[in-house]
Amino acid sequence: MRELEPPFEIEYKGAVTKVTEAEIKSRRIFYIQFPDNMKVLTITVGKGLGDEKFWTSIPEGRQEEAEEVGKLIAAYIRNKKK
Amino acid sequence: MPHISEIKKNKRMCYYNGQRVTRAEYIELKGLAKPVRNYPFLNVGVHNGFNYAPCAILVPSEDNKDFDIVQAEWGYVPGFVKTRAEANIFRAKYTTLNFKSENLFVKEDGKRSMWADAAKNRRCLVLSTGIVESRHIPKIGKKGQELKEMIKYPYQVGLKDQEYFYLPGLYNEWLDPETGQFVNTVAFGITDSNAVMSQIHNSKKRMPSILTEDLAWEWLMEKPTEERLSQIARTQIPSRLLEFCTVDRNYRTTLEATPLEYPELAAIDTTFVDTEELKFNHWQELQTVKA
Repeated sequence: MRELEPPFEIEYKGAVTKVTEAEIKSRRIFYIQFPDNMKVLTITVGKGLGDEKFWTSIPEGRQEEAEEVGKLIAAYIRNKKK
Repeated sequence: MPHISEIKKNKRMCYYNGQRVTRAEYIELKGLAKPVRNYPFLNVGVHNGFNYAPCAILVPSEDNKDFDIVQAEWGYVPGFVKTRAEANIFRAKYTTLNFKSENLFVKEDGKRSMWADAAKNRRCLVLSTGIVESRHIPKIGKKGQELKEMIKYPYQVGLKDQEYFYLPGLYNEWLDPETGQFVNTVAFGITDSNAVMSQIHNSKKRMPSILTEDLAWEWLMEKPTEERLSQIARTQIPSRLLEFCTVDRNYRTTLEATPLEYPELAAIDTTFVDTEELKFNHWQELQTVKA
């Protein structure tokens, strides 16, 4: 399994956003701290019925943001590997 | 009409955030909500005691066979305190961030300590990744003389090769009348400093009691006598097991301890660390085994 990323930053909606990865109950969780006191977001990768993977928020309710930020995180990790 | 296998499949299906997932995945994702709620307070770089910040503590589980990690406000509040305002006045007046390990059950004047009940019934462990203490160095005057005014140099102190360590804690579940919710409040034990901490925390010459894993377990999960608990609470970690560095003075506002060198500052003397003797060095056995 991929090693946990040390905390890193991504650019989300033009602002620097801090991301911290953690492992909770054997799941990889990303903890996202936005600037401007916006409520923190926690996301993970869920598995759909057909085994397709999707980004999702924990708890439920912020699916759109989860998908947007998740894509940026995935891109960050992919680029780091190159 | 749907096929029977479709119905069976649908029965096992749930929606999470509008996505179709299996029931097992649904349960797993739902089950993450609580630990995730507890996560942010683990992620804070530096807890500033004077804003009673939430921190992570371990408390025995209900069946006493395991422990749970829960959130607590740093700064003990006894049950008789009635309001949040009173609680903050109490904390400011008595500085209940720490308890003196020497006074766990009995005070200097021989009377029962305010900590005694918690020491018997509400022990916990405070999880720490490092502490920040300031070294006080007198300012030098124009004629080269030492002035009364002090310059503070903050140090972050942690344990070599150990990401987390345990401090003996005492907690109290306090009912916040304004929210109607129970809040855990906590203090951790302090003891006489070792030689390195005497140089760093040179204004007080005290340090947190840092426990070995065995002592942490005994403190949390077992039922030691008052004498034994007092001994554990006074644990002094040897200087040689500590790692330390100076950090930026902005740690209270950034909540991050960023290493920073101060060229004018003399190094900490560590020449004695292999021969250091401490009265309550319960790390001795571990050191011997490791060696």
